[in-house]
Amino acid sequence: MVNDIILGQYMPTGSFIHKASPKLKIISLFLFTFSLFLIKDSYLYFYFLAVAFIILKLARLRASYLLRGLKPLIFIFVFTFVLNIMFSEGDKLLWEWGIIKITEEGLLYSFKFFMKVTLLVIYATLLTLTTSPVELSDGIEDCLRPLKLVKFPVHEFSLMMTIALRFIPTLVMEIDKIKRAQEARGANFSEGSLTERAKNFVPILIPLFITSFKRADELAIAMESRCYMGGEGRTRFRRKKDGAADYLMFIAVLAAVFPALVNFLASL
Amino acid sequence: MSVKKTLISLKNVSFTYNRGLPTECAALFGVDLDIFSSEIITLIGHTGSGKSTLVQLLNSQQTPDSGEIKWHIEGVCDAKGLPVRRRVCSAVGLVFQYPEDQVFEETVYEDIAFGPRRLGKNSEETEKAVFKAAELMGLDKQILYKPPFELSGGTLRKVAIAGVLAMEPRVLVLDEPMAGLDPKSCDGFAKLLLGLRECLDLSIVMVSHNLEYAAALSDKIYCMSGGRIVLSGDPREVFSNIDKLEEFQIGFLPSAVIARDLSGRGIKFEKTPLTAEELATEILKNYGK
Repeated sequence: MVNDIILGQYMPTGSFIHKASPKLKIISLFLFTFSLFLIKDSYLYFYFLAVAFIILKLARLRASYLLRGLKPLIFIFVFTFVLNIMFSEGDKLLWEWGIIKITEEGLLYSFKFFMKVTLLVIYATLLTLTTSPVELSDGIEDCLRPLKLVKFPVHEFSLMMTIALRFIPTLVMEIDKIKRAQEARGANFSEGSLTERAKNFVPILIPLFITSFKRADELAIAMESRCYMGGEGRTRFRRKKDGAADYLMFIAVLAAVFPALVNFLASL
Repeated sequence: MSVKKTLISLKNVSFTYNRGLPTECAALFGVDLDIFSSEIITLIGHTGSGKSTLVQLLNSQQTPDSGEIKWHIEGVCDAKGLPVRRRVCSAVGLVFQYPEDQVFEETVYEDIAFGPRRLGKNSEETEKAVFKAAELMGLDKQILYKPPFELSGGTLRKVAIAGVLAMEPRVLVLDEPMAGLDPKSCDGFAKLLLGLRECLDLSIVMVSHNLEYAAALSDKIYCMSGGRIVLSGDPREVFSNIDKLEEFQIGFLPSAVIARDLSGRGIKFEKTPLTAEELATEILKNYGK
Protein backbone atom coordinates (compact mmCIF):
# COMPACT_ATOMS: atom_id res chain seq x y z
CA MET A 1 0.00 0.00 0.00
CA VAL A 2 2.71 2.35 1.09
CA ASN A 3 4.67 2.02 -2.14
CA ASP A 4 1.69 2.82 -4.38
CA ILE A 5 1.01 6.20 -2.86
CA ILE A 6 4.11 7.90 -4.14
CA LEU A 7 3.37 8.53 -7.75
CA GLY A 8 6.51 8.36 -9.85
CA GLN A 9 9.13 8.42 -7.14
CA TYR A 10 12.58 9.64 -8.18
CA MET A 11 14.62 6.84 -9.79
CA PRO A 12 18.23 7.89 -10.19
CA THR A 13 19.94 6.12 -13.11
CA GLY A 14 22.43 8.88 -13.90
CA SER A 15 21.27 9.37 -17.50
CA PHE A 16 21.73 12.73 -19.23
CA ILE A 17 18.04 13.40 -18.79
CA HIS A 18 18.49 13.08 -15.05
CA LYS A 19 21.36 15.53 -15.20
CA ALA A 20 19.58 18.06 -17.41
CA SER A 21 18.49 21.41 -16.05
CA PRO A 22 15.34 20.99 -13.93
CA LYS A 23 14.06 24.38 -15.09
CA LEU A 24 14.10 23.34 -18.74
CA LYS A 25 12.59 19.99 -17.86
CA ILE A 26 9.65 21.71 -16.18
CA ILE A 27 9.19 24.04 -19.14
CA SER A 28 9.34 21.00 -21.41
CA LEU A 29 6.58 19.37 -19.39
CA PHE A 30 4.45 22.46 -19.96
CA LEU A 31 5.20 22.37 -23.67
CA PHE A 32 4.14 18.74 -23.88
CA THR A 33 0.98 19.48 -21.88
CA PHE A 34 0.02 22.35 -24.18
CA SER A 35 0.68 20.23 -27.25
CA LEU A 36 -1.60 17.50 -25.96
CA PHE A 37 -4.40 20.04 -25.78
CA LEU A 38 -3.61 21.49 -29.18
CA ILE A 39 -3.71 18.37 -31.31
CA LYS A 40 -6.83 17.45 -33.23
CA ASP A 41 -5.94 14.24 -35.05
CA SER A 42 -5.88 11.04 -33.04
CA TYR A 43 -2.79 9.57 -34.66
CA LEU A 44 -0.71 12.27 -32.95
CA TYR A 45 -1.57 10.74 -29.57
CA PHE A 46 0.36 7.68 -30.65
CA TYR A 47 3.17 9.94 -31.77
CA PHE A 48 3.35 11.47 -28.27
CA LEU A 49 3.16 8.02 -26.72
CA ALA A 50 6.18 7.07 -28.83
CA VAL A 51 8.01 10.26 -27.77
CA ALA A 52 7.34 9.43 -24.12
CA PHE A 53 8.73 5.96 -24.71
CA ILE A 54 11.88 7.36 -26.32
CA ILE A 55 12.39 9.68 -23.33
CA LEU A 56 11.89 6.72 -21.04
CA LYS A 57 14.56 4.76 -22.88
CA LEU A 58 16.95 7.72 -22.96
CA ALA A 59 16.50 8.09 -19.22
CA ARG A 60 17.39 4.39 -18.89
CA LEU A 61 14.19 3.70 -16.97
CA ARG A 62 12.00 0.63 -17.13
CA ALA A 63 8.43 0.93 -18.42
CA SER A 64 7.24 -0.83 -15.27
CA TYR A 65 8.09 2.27 -13.21
CA LEU A 66 5.69 4.28 -15.35
CA LEU A 67 3.00 1.65 -15.08
CA ARG A 68 3.35 1.56 -11.33
CA GLY A 69 2.65 5.28 -11.27
CA LEU A 70 -0.42 4.78 -13.45
CA LYS A 71 -1.82 1.86 -11.51
CA PRO A 72 -3.71 3.80 -8.82
CA LEU A 73 -5.33 5.93 -11.53
CA ILE A 74 -6.52 3.10 -13.77
CA PHE A 75 -9.92 2.97 -12.12
CA ILE A 76 -10.58 6.69 -12.69
CA PHE A 77 -9.39 6.43 -16.29
CA VAL A 78 -11.59 3.48 -17.15
CA PHE A 79 -14.54 4.98 -15.32
CA THR A 80 -14.40 8.29 -17.20
CA PHE A 81 -13.76 6.45 -20.45
CA VAL A 82 -16.88 4.32 -20.07
CA LEU A 83 -18.97 7.27 -18.90
CA ASN A 84 -17.81 9.35 -21.84
CA ILE A 85 -18.67 6.62 -24.32
CA MET A 86 -22.14 6.19 -22.92
CA PHE A 87 -23.23 9.77 -22.56
CA SER A 88 -21.63 11.82 -25.31
CA GLU A 89 -23.77 13.22 -28.08
CA GLY A 90 -23.29 12.43 -31.75
CA ASP A 91 -25.03 11.78 -35.05
CA LYS A 92 -23.83 8.35 -36.09
CA LEU A 93 -25.63 6.05 -33.69
CA LEU A 94 -23.98 2.68 -33.15
CA TRP A 95 -25.97 1.24 -30.26
CA GLU A 96 -28.80 2.44 -28.06
CA TRP A 97 -30.33 1.21 -24.81
CA GLY A 98 -32.61 3.55 -22.84
CA ILE A 99 -30.74 6.76 -22.18
CA ILE A 100 -27.44 5.14 -23.07
CA LYS A 101 -26.36 5.99 -26.61
CA ILE A 102 -23.10 4.98 -28.10
CA THR A 103 -22.12 7.07 -31.08
CA GLU A 104 -19.09 7.11 -33.31
CA GLU A 105 -18.27 10.67 -32.24
CA GLY A 106 -18.65 9.71 -28.61
CA LEU A 107 -16.31 6.78 -29.07
CA LEU A 108 -13.69 8.95 -30.72
CA TYR A 109 -14.08 11.71 -28.14
CA SER A 110 -13.70 9.26 -25.26
CA PHE A 111 -10.64 7.78 -26.85
CA LYS A 112 -9.05 11.21 -27.25
CA PHE A 113 -9.89 12.19 -23.71
CA PHE A 114 -8.52 8.94 -22.36
CA MET A 115 -5.26 9.32 -24.28
CA LYS A 116 -4.92 12.94 -23.24
CA VAL A 117 -5.21 12.21 -19.52
CA THR A 118 -3.00 9.13 -19.70
CA LEU A 119 -0.29 10.99 -21.59
CA LEU A 120 -0.49 13.90 -19.15
CA VAL A 121 0.16 11.56 -16.27
CA ILE A 122 2.92 9.78 -18.20
CA TYR A 123 4.79 13.01 -18.95
CA ALA A 124 4.38 14.29 -15.41
CA THR A 125 5.64 10.97 -14.08
CA LEU A 126 8.62 11.14 -16.43
CA LEU A 127 9.54 14.45 -14.85
CA THR A 128 9.32 13.19 -11.29
CA LEU A 129 11.09 9.94 -12.15
CA THR A 130 14.07 11.81 -13.51
CA THR A 131 14.19 14.81 -11.17
CA SER A 132 14.85 14.63 -7.45
CA PRO A 133 12.46 16.61 -5.23
CA VAL A 134 15.17 19.10 -4.36
CA GLU A 135 16.02 19.74 -8.02
CA LEU A 136 12.35 19.97 -8.77
CA SER A 137 11.77 22.73 -6.27
CA ASP A 138 14.94 24.49 -7.46
CA GLY A 139 13.52 24.30 -10.97
CA ILE A 140 10.17 25.66 -9.89
CA GLU A 141 11.91 28.50 -8.10
CA ASP A 142 13.78 29.29 -11.32
CA CYS A 143 10.59 29.16 -13.35
CA LEU A 144 8.76 31.44 -10.95
CA ARG A 145 11.61 33.93 -10.66
CA PRO A 146 9.97 36.46 -13.02
CA LEU A 147 7.07 36.69 -10.54
CA LYS A 148 9.45 38.37 -8.10
CA LEU A 149 8.76 41.55 -10.01
CA VAL A 150 5.22 41.50 -8.69
CA LYS A 151 6.44 40.79 -5.14
CA PHE A 152 5.53 37.11 -5.18
CA PRO A 153 7.52 35.29 -2.41
CA VAL A 154 9.19 32.87 -4.82
CA HIS A 155 11.81 31.52 -2.44
CA GLU A 156 9.36 30.93 0.41
CA PHE A 157 7.00 29.23 -1.98
CA SER A 158 9.62 26.83 -3.24
CA LEU A 159 10.84 26.15 0.29
CA MET A 160 7.30 25.21 1.25
CA MET A 161 7.18 22.85 -1.69
CA THR A 162 10.51 21.28 -0.80
CA ILE A 163 9.45 20.69 2.77
CA ALA A 164 6.09 19.27 1.72
CA LEU A 165 7.76 16.85 -0.69
CA ARG A 166 10.44 15.94 1.81
CA PHE A 167 7.91 14.93 4.45
CA ILE A 168 5.68 12.71 2.34
CA PRO A 169 7.73 9.56 3.03
CA THR A 170 8.07 10.52 6.69
CA LEU A 171 4.31 10.87 7.00
CA VAL A 172 3.75 7.55 5.26
CA MET A 173 6.04 5.86 7.78
CA GLU A 174 4.34 7.68 10.61
CA ILE A 175 0.90 6.50 9.46
CA ASP A 176 2.18 2.95 9.34
CA LYS A 177 3.54 3.21 12.85
CA ILE A 178 0.41 4.74 14.37
CA LYS A 179 -1.76 2.23 12.55
CA ARG A 180 0.14 -0.63 14.11
CA ALA A 181 -0.03 0.93 17.54
CA GLN A 182 -3.80 1.36 17.30
CA GLU A 183 -4.22 -2.14 15.96
CA ALA A 184 -2.38 -3.39 19.01
CA ARG A 185 -5.09 -1.64 21.03
CA GLY A 186 -7.84 -3.45 19.17
CA ALA A 187 -8.57 -1.00 16.36
CA ASN A 188 -9.69 -2.62 13.13
CA PHE A 189 -9.17 -0.88 9.82
CA SER A 190 -10.35 -3.50 7.39
CA GLU A 191 -13.84 -4.37 8.58
CA GLY A 192 -17.16 -2.64 9.00
CA SER A 193 -19.34 -0.38 6.90
CA LEU A 194 -17.97 2.58 5.00
CA THR A 195 -18.91 5.13 7.68
CA GLU A 196 -17.48 2.88 10.37
CA ARG A 197 -14.24 2.55 8.47
CA ALA A 198 -14.06 6.30 7.98
CA LYS A 199 -14.56 6.74 11.71
CA ASN A 200 -11.83 4.22 12.38
CA PHE A 201 -9.34 6.60 10.85
CA VAL A 202 -9.78 9.14 13.63
CA PRO A 203 -7.31 7.27 15.88
CA ILE A 204 -4.76 7.57 13.08
CA LEU A 205 -5.42 11.11 11.94
CA ILE A 206 -5.33 12.86 15.29
CA PRO A 207 -1.96 11.48 16.41
CA LEU A 208 -0.68 12.13 12.89
CA PHE A 209 -1.69 15.80 13.07
CA ILE A 210 -0.21 16.20 16.51
CA THR A 211 3.16 14.71 15.59
CA SER A 212 3.17 16.72 12.35
CA PHE A 213 2.63 19.98 14.20
CA LYS A 214 5.31 19.03 16.69
CA ARG A 215 7.68 18.20 13.86
CA ALA A 216 6.92 21.45 12.06
CA ASP A 217 7.66 23.35 15.25
CA GLU A 218 10.95 21.55 15.74
CA LEU A 219 11.90 22.10 12.12
CA ALA A 220 11.23 25.82 12.43
CA ILE A 221 13.38 26.07 15.55
CA ALA A 222 16.15 24.03 13.91
CA MET A 223 16.09 26.32 10.87
CA GLU A 224 16.11 29.49 12.92
CA SER A 225 18.94 28.25 15.10
CA ARG A 226 20.92 27.82 11.91
CA CYS A 227 20.20 31.44 11.05
CA TYR A 228 17.60 30.92 8.36
CA MET A 229 16.22 34.37 7.57
CA GLY A 230 14.07 33.75 4.52
CA GLY A 231 14.96 34.29 0.91
CA GLU A 232 16.51 37.76 1.16
CA GLY A 233 20.13 37.61 0.01
CA ARG A 234 20.25 33.85 0.26
CA THR A 235 22.66 32.06 -2.07
CA ARG A 236 22.42 28.52 -3.31
CA PHE A 237 24.52 25.53 -2.44
CA ARG A 238 23.89 23.79 -5.74
CA ARG A 239 24.64 26.21 -8.52
CA LYS A 240 23.90 24.89 -11.92
CA LYS A 241 24.13 26.93 -15.06
CA ASP A 242 22.35 25.64 -18.12
CA GLY A 243 24.96 24.39 -20.59
CA ALA A 244 25.00 23.49 -24.26
CA ALA A 245 23.64 20.01 -23.50
CA ASP A 246 20.63 21.50 -21.73
CA TYR A 247 19.85 23.79 -24.64
CA LEU A 248 20.25 20.93 -27.09
CA MET A 249 17.78 18.87 -25.10
CA PHE A 250 15.37 21.78 -25.07
CA ILE A 251 15.68 22.24 -28.83
CA ALA A 252 14.94 18.53 -29.23
CA VAL A 253 11.81 19.00 -27.13
CA LEU A 254 10.75 21.97 -29.27
CA ALA A 255 11.24 19.83 -32.36
CA ALA A 256 9.21 17.02 -30.77
CA VAL A 257 6.20 19.23 -30.03
CA PHE A 258 6.38 20.92 -33.44
CA PRO A 259 4.00 18.44 -35.15
CA ALA A 260 1.33 19.34 -32.58
CA LEU A 261 1.60 23.02 -33.49
CA VAL A 262 1.43 22.22 -37.21
CA ASN A 263 -1.62 20.05 -36.64
CA PHE A 264 -3.31 22.79 -34.64
CA LEU A 265 -2.59 25.51 -37.22
CA ALA A 266 -3.75 23.25 -40.06
CA SER A 267 -7.06 22.61 -38.35
CA LEU A 268 -7.84 26.33 -37.91
CA MET B 1 4.81 -18.91 43.43
CA SER B 2 2.74 -20.89 40.97
CA VAL B 3 4.22 -23.41 38.56
CA LYS B 4 5.73 -21.78 35.49
CA LYS B 5 3.65 -22.23 32.40
CA THR B 6 4.70 -21.50 28.86
CA LEU B 7 2.57 -18.70 27.42
CA ILE B 8 4.20 -18.10 24.06
CA SER B 9 6.70 -20.31 22.32
CA LEU B 10 8.64 -19.48 19.19
CA LYS B 11 10.35 -22.27 17.29
CA ASN B 12 12.90 -21.61 14.60
CA VAL B 13 11.17 -18.41 13.52
CA SER B 14 12.47 -16.41 10.54
CA PHE B 15 11.13 -13.21 9.11
CA THR B 16 11.91 -11.04 6.09
CA TYR B 17 10.60 -7.56 5.35
CA ASN B 18 9.31 -6.72 1.85
CA ARG B 19 9.64 -10.29 0.69
CA GLY B 20 10.13 -10.51 -3.10
CA LEU B 21 10.77 -6.79 -3.56
CA PRO B 22 14.13 -5.20 -4.32
CA THR B 23 14.03 -3.69 -0.82
CA GLU B 24 13.85 -7.16 0.75
CA CYS B 25 15.51 -7.26 4.14
CA ALA B 26 15.91 -10.28 6.38
CA ALA B 27 15.26 -9.41 10.00
CA LEU B 28 15.15 -12.68 11.94
CA PHE B 29 16.84 -16.05 11.50
CA GLY B 30 15.78 -19.18 13.37
CA VAL B 31 14.79 -17.60 16.63
CA ASP B 32 13.78 -19.87 19.53
CA LEU B 33 12.16 -18.23 22.49
CA ASP B 34 9.83 -19.28 25.28
CA ILE B 35 7.90 -16.88 27.43
CA PHE B 36 6.75 -18.23 30.77
CA SER B 37 4.04 -16.91 33.06
CA SER B 38 4.95 -14.05 35.39
CA GLU B 39 8.44 -13.74 34.01
CA ILE B 40 10.24 -10.57 33.01
CA ILE B 41 12.29 -10.97 29.86
CA THR B 42 14.54 -8.33 28.35
CA LEU B 43 15.78 -8.27 24.78
CA ILE B 44 18.98 -6.34 24.30
CA GLY B 45 21.01 -5.68 21.20
CA HIS B 46 21.87 -3.09 18.60
CA THR B 47 19.49 -1.04 16.55
CA GLY B 48 18.54 -3.27 13.63
CA SER B 49 19.30 -6.52 15.43
CA GLY B 50 15.68 -7.61 15.08
CA LYS B 51 14.36 -6.80 18.56
CA SER B 52 11.44 -4.70 17.43
CA THR B 53 10.55 -7.22 14.72
CA LEU B 54 10.54 -10.03 17.25
CA VAL B 55 8.32 -8.00 19.53
CA GLN B 56 5.82 -7.43 16.73
CA LEU B 57 5.72 -11.14 15.94
CA LEU B 58 4.69 -11.86 19.54
CA ASN B 59 1.62 -9.70 19.00
CA SER B 60 0.90 -11.22 15.57
CA GLN B 61 1.40 -7.83 13.93
CA GLN B 62 3.64 -9.71 11.54
CA THR B 63 3.54 -13.35 10.53
CA PRO B 64 6.78 -15.33 10.35
CA ASP B 65 7.99 -16.68 6.99
CA SER B 66 9.01 -19.97 8.51
CA GLY B 67 8.98 -21.59 11.92
CA GLU B 68 6.03 -21.39 14.26
CA ILE B 69 4.69 -19.28 17.06
CA LYS B 70 2.30 -20.85 19.54
CA TRP B 71 0.20 -18.98 22.01
CA HIS B 72 -0.72 -21.14 25.00
CA ILE B 73 -3.12 -18.60 26.39
CA GLU B 74 -6.73 -19.35 27.14
CA GLY B 75 -9.21 -17.99 24.65
CA VAL B 76 -6.66 -17.02 22.02
CA CYS B 77 -7.24 -19.91 19.66
CA ASP B 78 -10.41 -20.81 17.81
CA ALA B 79 -12.08 -24.23 17.80
CA LYS B 80 -9.48 -25.59 15.38
CA GLY B 81 -6.65 -24.52 17.64
CA LEU B 82 -5.51 -21.73 15.34
CA PRO B 83 -4.68 -18.34 16.84
CA VAL B 84 -7.16 -15.55 16.15
CA ARG B 85 -5.30 -12.37 15.41
CA ARG B 86 -7.61 -9.99 17.26
CA ARG B 87 -7.59 -12.17 20.34
CA VAL B 88 -3.81 -12.35 20.25
CA CYS B 89 -3.74 -8.54 20.09
CA SER B 90 -5.64 -8.29 23.34
CA ALA B 91 -3.92 -11.17 25.13
CA VAL B 92 -0.46 -9.90 24.26
CA GLY B 93 -0.50 -6.18 24.95
CA LEU B 94 2.05 -4.46 22.77
CA VAL B 95 3.33 -1.02 23.66
CA PHE B 96 5.33 0.59 20.87
CA GLN B 97 8.26 2.94 21.18
CA TYR B 98 7.09 6.40 22.19
CA PRO B 99 3.56 5.18 22.89
CA GLU B 100 2.52 8.75 23.71
CA ASP B 101 2.23 9.22 19.95
CA GLN B 102 -0.80 6.95 19.80
CA VAL B 103 -2.97 8.91 22.24
CA PHE B 104 -5.82 10.62 20.43
CA GLU B 105 -8.97 10.96 22.52
CA GLU B 106 -10.24 14.11 24.19
CA THR B 107 -9.69 12.92 27.74
CA VAL B 108 -7.31 10.47 29.33
CA TYR B 109 -10.29 8.35 30.40
CA GLU B 110 -11.59 8.06 26.85
CA ASP B 111 -8.19 7.10 25.56
CA ILE B 112 -7.66 4.33 28.08
CA ALA B 113 -11.22 3.14 27.38
CA PHE B 114 -10.55 2.77 23.64
CA GLY B 115 -9.11 -0.75 23.94
CA PRO B 116 -11.75 -2.28 26.24
CA ARG B 117 -14.55 -0.77 24.13
CA ARG B 118 -13.04 -2.28 21.03
CA LEU B 119 -13.13 -5.63 22.78
CA GLY B 120 -16.88 -5.16 23.08
CA LYS B 121 -17.09 -4.52 26.82
CA ASN B 122 -20.07 -2.63 28.21
CA SER B 123 -19.65 0.73 29.90
CA GLU B 124 -19.54 -0.71 33.41
CA GLU B 125 -16.81 -3.21 32.58
CA THR B 126 -14.97 -0.55 30.64
CA GLU B 127 -15.03 1.84 33.59
CA LYS B 128 -13.73 -0.86 35.89
CA ALA B 129 -10.93 -1.74 33.47
CA VAL B 130 -9.97 1.92 33.03
CA PHE B 131 -9.80 2.64 36.74
CA LYS B 132 -7.83 -0.50 37.41
CA ALA B 133 -5.33 0.21 34.63
CA ALA B 134 -4.93 3.83 35.77
CA GLU B 135 -4.33 2.73 39.33
CA LEU B 136 -1.78 0.14 38.26
CA MET B 137 0.13 2.76 36.32
CA GLY B 138 0.00 5.11 39.30
CA LEU B 139 -2.16 7.67 37.54
CA ASP B 140 -4.15 10.09 39.67
CA LYS B 141 -7.92 9.87 39.29
CA GLN B 142 -7.98 13.61 38.71
CA ILE B 143 -6.01 13.48 35.52
CA LEU B 144 -8.39 10.94 34.00
CA TYR B 145 -10.68 13.74 32.91
CA LYS B 146 -7.98 16.02 31.58
CA PRO B 147 -7.12 16.36 27.92
CA PRO B 148 -4.08 14.12 27.40
CA PHE B 149 -2.05 16.77 25.62
CA GLU B 150 -1.69 18.87 28.76
CA LEU B 151 0.29 16.09 30.42
CA SER B 152 4.05 15.71 30.58
CA GLY B 153 5.77 13.18 28.32
CA GLY B 154 6.37 10.67 31.12
CA THR B 155 2.77 10.79 32.33
CA LEU B 156 1.46 10.53 28.79
CA ARG B 157 3.51 7.39 28.36
CA LYS B 158 1.89 5.95 31.47
CA VAL B 159 -1.49 6.80 29.98
CA ALA B 160 -0.60 4.99 26.78
CA ILE B 161 0.57 1.91 28.68
CA ALA B 162 -2.60 2.04 30.80
CA GLY B 163 -4.51 2.00 27.51
CA VAL B 164 -2.93 -1.34 26.72
CA LEU B 165 -3.28 -2.70 30.25
CA ALA B 166 -7.00 -1.91 30.18
CA MET B 167 -7.37 -4.69 27.63
CA GLU B 168 -6.23 -7.04 30.40
CA PRO B 169 -3.41 -8.78 28.56
CA ARG B 170 -1.64 -11.85 29.93
CA VAL B 171 1.67 -10.75 28.46
CA LEU B 172 2.82 -7.15 28.26
CA VAL B 173 5.33 -6.36 25.55
CA LEU B 174 7.15 -3.05 25.78
CA ASP B 175 9.42 -1.67 23.08
CA GLU B 176 11.96 0.52 24.85
CA PRO B 177 9.66 1.77 27.57
CA MET B 178 12.30 4.02 29.07
CA ALA B 179 13.54 5.76 25.94
CA GLY B 180 13.80 9.50 26.48
CA LEU B 181 12.86 9.46 30.17
CA ASP B 182 14.87 11.10 32.95
CA PRO B 183 16.59 8.84 35.54
CA LYS B 184 13.93 9.48 38.16
CA SER B 185 11.10 8.51 35.83
CA CYS B 186 13.10 5.46 34.78
CA ASP B 187 13.33 4.32 38.40
CA GLY B 188 9.63 4.92 38.77
CA PHE B 189 8.97 2.85 35.69
CA ALA B 190 11.12 -0.01 36.89
CA LYS B 191 9.12 -0.14 40.12
CA LEU B 192 5.86 0.03 38.18
CA LEU B 193 6.84 -2.92 36.03
CA LEU B 194 7.74 -5.04 39.07
CA GLY B 195 4.43 -3.99 40.63
CA LEU B 196 2.53 -5.06 37.53
CA ARG B 197 3.99 -8.52 37.66
CA GLU B 198 3.23 -8.74 41.37
CA CYS B 199 -0.40 -7.60 41.07
CA LEU B 200 -1.47 -9.17 37.80
CA ASP B 201 0.82 -12.18 37.53
CA LEU B 202 1.75 -10.63 34.20
CA SER B 203 4.62 -11.70 31.99
CA ILE B 204 6.60 -8.77 30.69
CA VAL B 205 8.79 -8.74 27.62
CA MET B 206 10.73 -5.57 27.07
CA VAL B 207 13.26 -4.22 24.67
CA SER B 208 15.84 -2.07 26.38
CA HIS B 209 19.17 -0.44 25.82
CA ASN B 210 19.65 0.16 29.49
CA LEU B 211 21.72 -2.75 30.77
CA GLU B 212 21.45 -1.75 34.44
CA TYR B 213 17.67 -1.96 34.35
CA ALA B 214 17.82 -5.13 32.29
CA ALA B 215 20.02 -6.69 34.97
CA ALA B 216 17.92 -5.43 37.85
CA LEU B 217 14.49 -6.35 36.50
CA SER B 218 14.82 -9.41 34.30
CA ASP B 219 14.49 -13.08 35.05
CA LYS B 220 15.97 -13.80 31.67
CA ILE B 221 17.91 -11.80 29.13
CA TYR B 222 18.18 -12.47 25.42
CA CYS B 223 20.93 -10.73 23.48
CA MET B 224 20.29 -10.27 19.80
CA SER B 225 22.63 -9.55 16.95
CA GLY B 226 21.98 -9.66 13.23
CA GLY B 227 18.54 -11.23 13.65
CA ARG B 228 19.75 -14.08 15.86
CA ILE B 229 19.70 -14.69 19.56
CA VAL B 230 23.39 -14.91 20.37
CA LEU B 231 23.36 -15.12 24.13
CA SER B 232 20.68 -15.85 26.68
CA GLY B 233 20.24 -16.75 30.29
CA ASP B 234 19.62 -15.12 33.64
CA PRO B 235 21.30 -11.73 34.15
CA ARG B 236 24.31 -13.15 35.97
CA GLU B 237 24.99 -15.72 33.25
CA VAL B 238 24.68 -13.14 30.52
CA PHE B 239 26.72 -10.36 32.05
CA SER B 240 29.48 -12.67 33.23
CA ASN B 241 30.03 -13.78 29.64
CA ILE B 242 32.06 -10.70 28.84
CA ASP B 243 33.86 -12.30 25.87
CA LYS B 244 30.61 -12.88 24.06
CA LEU B 245 29.23 -9.48 24.93
CA GLU B 246 32.41 -8.02 23.52
CA GLU B 247 32.22 -10.15 20.37
CA PHE B 248 28.78 -8.82 19.53
CA GLN B 249 29.46 -5.34 20.94
CA ILE B 250 26.40 -5.40 23.11
CA GLY B 251 27.94 -3.54 26.01
CA PHE B 252 28.94 -4.46 29.56
CA LEU B 253 27.91 -3.90 33.10
CA PRO B 254 30.77 -1.92 34.68
CA SER B 255 30.62 -3.98 37.88
CA ALA B 256 30.96 -7.25 35.95
CA VAL B 257 34.01 -5.95 34.07
CA ILE B 258 35.65 -4.72 37.25
CA ALA B 259 34.97 -8.11 38.83
CA ARG B 260 36.64 -9.89 35.95
CA ASP B 261 39.71 -7.66 36.09
CA LEU B 262 40.01 -8.00 39.85
CA SER B 263 39.62 -11.77 39.79
CA GLY B 264 42.59 -11.80 37.42
CA ARG B 265 44.53 -10.23 40.29
CA GLY B 266 43.59 -12.71 42.92
CA ILE B 267 40.36 -11.36 44.36
CA LYS B 268 37.73 -14.07 44.55
CA PHE B 269 34.11 -13.57 43.51
CA GLU B 270 31.35 -15.99 44.47
CA LYS B 271 29.00 -14.52 41.89
CA THR B 272 29.18 -11.92 39.19
CA PRO B 273 28.15 -8.63 40.75
CA LEU B 274 25.45 -6.77 38.83
CA THR B 275 25.42 -3.57 40.85
CA ALA B 276 27.95 -1.37 42.60
CA GLU B 277 26.68 -2.58 45.99
CA GLU B 278 27.14 -6.21 45.07
CA LEU B 279 30.61 -5.45 43.79
CA ALA B 280 31.54 -3.73 47.04
CA THR B 281 30.16 -6.59 49.13
CA GLU B 282 32.03 -9.18 47.10
CA ILE B 283 35.31 -7.31 47.40
CA LEU B 284 34.87 -6.77 51.13
CA LYS B 285 34.25 -10.50 51.60
CA ASN B 286 37.81 -11.08 50.42
CA TYR B 287 39.03 -8.99 53.33
CA GLY B 288 36.89 -10.88 55.77
CA LYS B 289 34.46 -8.05 56.31
